[in-house]
Amino acid sequence: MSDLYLIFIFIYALLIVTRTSLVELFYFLPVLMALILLLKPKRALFKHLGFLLGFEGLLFILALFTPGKPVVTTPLGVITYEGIQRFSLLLGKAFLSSSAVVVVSNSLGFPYILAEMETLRFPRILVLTLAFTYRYLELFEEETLRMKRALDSRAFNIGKIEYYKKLGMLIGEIFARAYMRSVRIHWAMLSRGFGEFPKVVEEKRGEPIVLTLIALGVALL
Amino acid sequence: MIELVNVHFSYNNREVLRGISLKINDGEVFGILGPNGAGKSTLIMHLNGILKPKMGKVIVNGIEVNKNPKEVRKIVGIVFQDPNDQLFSPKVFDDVAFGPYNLGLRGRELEERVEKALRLVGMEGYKNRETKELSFGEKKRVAIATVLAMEPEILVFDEPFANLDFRGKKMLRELIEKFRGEKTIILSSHEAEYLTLCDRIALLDGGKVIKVGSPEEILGNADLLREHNLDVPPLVDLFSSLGLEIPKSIEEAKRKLKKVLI
Ligand SMILES: Nc1ncnc2c1ncn2[C@@H]1O[C@H](COP(=O)(O)OP(=O)(O)OP(=O)(O)O)[C@@H](O)[C@H]1O
Ligand SMILES: [Mg+2]
Repeated sequence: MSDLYLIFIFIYALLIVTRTSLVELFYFLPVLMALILLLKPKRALFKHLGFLLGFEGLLFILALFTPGKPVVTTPLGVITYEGIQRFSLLLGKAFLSSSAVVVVSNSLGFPYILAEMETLRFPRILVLTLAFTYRYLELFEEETLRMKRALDSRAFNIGKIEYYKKLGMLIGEIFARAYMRSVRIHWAMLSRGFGEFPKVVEEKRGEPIVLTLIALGVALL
Repeated sequence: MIELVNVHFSYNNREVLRGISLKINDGEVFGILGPNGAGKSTLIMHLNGILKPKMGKVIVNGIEVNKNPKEVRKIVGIVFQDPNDQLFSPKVFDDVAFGPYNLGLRGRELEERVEKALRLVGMEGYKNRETKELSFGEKKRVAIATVLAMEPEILVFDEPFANLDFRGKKMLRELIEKFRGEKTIILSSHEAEYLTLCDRIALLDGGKVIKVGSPEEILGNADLLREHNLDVPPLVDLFSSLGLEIPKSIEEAKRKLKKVLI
């Protein structure tokens, strides 16, 4: 069963990343909705998806400043029409594909998905990337909360601007911390036999089509 | 048996392990005592090849860790200092199941293994809870369960007692007693009082082994402990100044004192 979902995700993600216009992306929204209805995730997941959207938005923010027809001028630079388009396209692709992964792995149990991908001989780098995007997100969320609390509990008597400046500085630090932590989590996974122990002899068929699709997907990304 | 031979390690050119040599015997409860930054966690991560020595080698049951980390990771189970580094699944069950799943367990067998491990740490009701909603101490217990579930021959705990409440500490002591003699158990701590239950203790400071010996020799030496910024536990102080053998637990201390007094 989880095999089927995996194959679905990859085809779906592959189709998404190859889209070139925003309109085409909209057709995938109902697919994601259907997936959510089908798997009926817990409510907490939606908060998670909201955070994912914010995280990815932050990641692509530079795209807003693509040279082109100006829309507004901000202290950071000129936001252009082309920039907004590029930003929305990137964000749409990233969000639609990653949220499908999050929804599926949340309902089926993330470690099984990972282990399943390994037995299906998905490329190791892909398995790891997926593992980390997922965990990184949570870490980022946790670390942000923790540091914001730390800041708030000591940030009295400072002006709004000062406060936001400090907050901005924290974000860089949060990235670094979340990274360090994801390294240590990788260690913990290795310690518990991730990708190390010989797999049980469950003769899995090679799934050549899936493999080709994934290879294609990776190449496209 | 675990053998470290002249192990050196540095993080970005800053040397933190400076020639560690140690032998830990089968079935031994072995303590690693040292102040903050002594290199305890770094040393522990060498025991299953997560970190690789820049010089020297680590040998577990005759296998050189660097040459075959896969084999060694089945033998050595490590519980990391910070449970947030250890747990990565949304649900408790999934996280505990991860190790045994990698070992090839499936279905009912896998479930039983997970339940048994959770029971051992007193977390049987937490199977379906979300990992990130647990308190720190609860996470710590689950982290211990993730390793117990793999039933490794050698159990390594990095600062296991820190942040556990009275019941948690008691649970951990009972766990250690349960496996005493059957498995090799390695514990680290910067608090001497948690290591009274060890058969032998290595005092580590500045990336070097200062001394290896029995609890009497290490914990009973108040000057040595103070010299290395470590607390002398009151009970240990009392017993060693009376020239008595250091008790492994409060219960044992009570028994011994009664014998002396009556
Ligand atoms: N990832 C890292 N990068 C650089 N230096 C590090 C890193 N991890 C640890 N260190 C340094 O290595 C030294 C030993 O650290 P380690 O964590 O092994 O100490 P410890 O004995 O476990 O301390 P504690 O009692 O605080 O847990 C410390 O000085 C620490 O600052
Ligand atoms: Mg440590």
